[in-house]
Amino acid sequence: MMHPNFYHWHAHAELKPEPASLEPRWNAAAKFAEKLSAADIRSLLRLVLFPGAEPEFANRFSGELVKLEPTFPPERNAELLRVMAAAAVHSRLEKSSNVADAFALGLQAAAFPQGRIEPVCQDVMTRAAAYLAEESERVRPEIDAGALEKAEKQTDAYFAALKTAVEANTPQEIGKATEALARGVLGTMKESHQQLGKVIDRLTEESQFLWWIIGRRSPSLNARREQLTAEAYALPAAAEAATRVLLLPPAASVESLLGESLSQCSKAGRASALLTELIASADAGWVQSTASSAATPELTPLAALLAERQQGGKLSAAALKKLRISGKPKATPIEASQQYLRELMFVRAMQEVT
Amino acid sequence: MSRCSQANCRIAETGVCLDGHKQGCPHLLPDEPTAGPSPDEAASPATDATTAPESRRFHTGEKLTISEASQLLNERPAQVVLCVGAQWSGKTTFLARVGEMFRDGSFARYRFGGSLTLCAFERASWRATIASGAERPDTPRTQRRENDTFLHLRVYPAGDSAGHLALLISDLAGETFPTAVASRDFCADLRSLARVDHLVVFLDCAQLADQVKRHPECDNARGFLQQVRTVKHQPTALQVHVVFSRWDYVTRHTERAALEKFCEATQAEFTERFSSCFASIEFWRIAARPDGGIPPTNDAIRSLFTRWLEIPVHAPAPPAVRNRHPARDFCGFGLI
Repeated sequence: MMHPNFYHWHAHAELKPEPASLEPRWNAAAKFAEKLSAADIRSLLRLVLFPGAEPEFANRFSGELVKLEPTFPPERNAELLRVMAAAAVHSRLEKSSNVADAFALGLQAAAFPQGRIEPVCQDVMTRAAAYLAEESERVRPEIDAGALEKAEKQTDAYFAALKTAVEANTPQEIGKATEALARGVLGTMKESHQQLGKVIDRLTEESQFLWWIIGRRSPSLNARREQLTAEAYALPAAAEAATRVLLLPPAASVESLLGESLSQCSKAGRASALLTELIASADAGWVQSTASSAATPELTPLAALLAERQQGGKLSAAALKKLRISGKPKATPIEASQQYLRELMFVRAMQEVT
Repeated sequence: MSRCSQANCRIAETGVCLDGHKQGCPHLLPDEPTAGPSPDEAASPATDATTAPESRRFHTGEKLTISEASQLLNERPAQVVLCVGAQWSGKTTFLARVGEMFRDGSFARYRFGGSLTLCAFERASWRATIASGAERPDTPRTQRRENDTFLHLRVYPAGDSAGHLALLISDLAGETFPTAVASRDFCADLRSLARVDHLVVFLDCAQLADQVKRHPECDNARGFLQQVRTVKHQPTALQVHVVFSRWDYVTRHTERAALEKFCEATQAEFTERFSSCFASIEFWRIAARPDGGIPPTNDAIRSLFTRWLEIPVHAPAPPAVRNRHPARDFCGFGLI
């Protein structure tokens, strides 16, 4: 359904949007977003967040939109396409899916440091945050105590049908009722297994984090946290937390757990440091061993800087400029850790899409 | 780009002929065969040499209409600026001064990258030139029909010729300002207000110097900002600049200290009232074309202009939303 503020989004690129054209345009963007590859997801995100991004994709996107909505301007429409990209992304964020996870996590991951991204409208960012909150709760529900009761009632109904068929002594009806009962029992078993599987996943995730926290130890650096500084542990901690997330999107509490793990370090760093210094203070061995995940550097700025360091590159102003990072941004170890976790979660979500 | 044989002519940099010729200036030199790209080409994103030449639009050089400005906004990002204030508060003079400062090279940080509305800039400045024959520098009044029309300016940061920045600047005719203050519908219909990134509100110091007239002047500015709050979508993304215009009236005034104090009190009151409603509210003291031999406040004009071109302040990313009553304790960890 068209966003109520779509007129105002449009006003970004068109001073007097034609109200009648809005619904068809929204529908065209939503239609385009129905089938997306991982590359399309990256391109749409970059288009929403950065002016002048993705000229090749923009051409294709424009062509598709014109096919779906012939009044859409076919050329000289770069800014309008950004609005349409926001509509495409927003339309996917209305329902839960792997693609929606990737969009929401991508928007969240790219929004660092503050002021780096230039979203064409703010509503899409707000929707992403709301989606992540809803979805992370939805995939981690309380155990449904009524499930067994429901299954029993269902089975009772099948039994009653079978009993009636037997009393009527109609072989055909008996056959049908028996088959329905068997299918019903199988279905209940399947549902029960699925539910149990989800419960086990949830509990595994929780106990993994619990042991990670109470262990007071970094498995990846093979050291007790009290022997590490928060600056050195910030990024490895995020990677450790990321491997313990079993269900996407991650629970919002994972970021608080990261803070808890960093507070166990010898110097619980709360002071801000230059981003480049934080990257440089990550353990060298860990940096080399960590898998590079900077497929879309602009969407995962910390991962991109880490990849730069991995390749022996200097974290110069030019490297930062390439990532559209201006000035000398600072972050606390906790902020950097949370940011790296967000990036890793986005990378995982993209893998799940592919 | 045209070059001129006259040493003082800056047509190569500004596109404006020293002698005021629109075309056919006898001093123009033929183009060099290896000349660089034209301003229009330079303003366009780098294109593949193999791509077919794009169709060109032709402009009259006058202010852009809504439709023309929309075509520009469709194509590339631009900052939209709206100047408002009472009649004779110095809005057009300020904009004319910006154009003049580009011509005389006063903007060190930015270079002129082209304009589709050179005639409109020229028209605003004309009566301040010796060639116009006017007795004293003057600026033609913005007409009511010029509401929602736009001056266009393309600049690039010095040393970064690829980083073009576009500005669309509209000034609301002073005679319609009282209507804007009084009518929500009028404000809601203003397309420039709906899209504006930087709103510049002019407070005329000539009025502020008068004990009687100063209150309606401030009330109108307050009233207008209140209207903006109600009609503008996401006003918290809007950057507001309040200009104490014709500042030379203050500096020349016999009770200068008292006037300055009044301006400071006004500034404090506006800040308190509006700072939480908009992305930012800043104050400027500007004399664009002062009388009495006082030099114009070029530094303040430069700073304000630079502010328009800075990367817009985007609202910070919304914080991670936390459910206050999660289904599981695990999801509630860290809740305060």
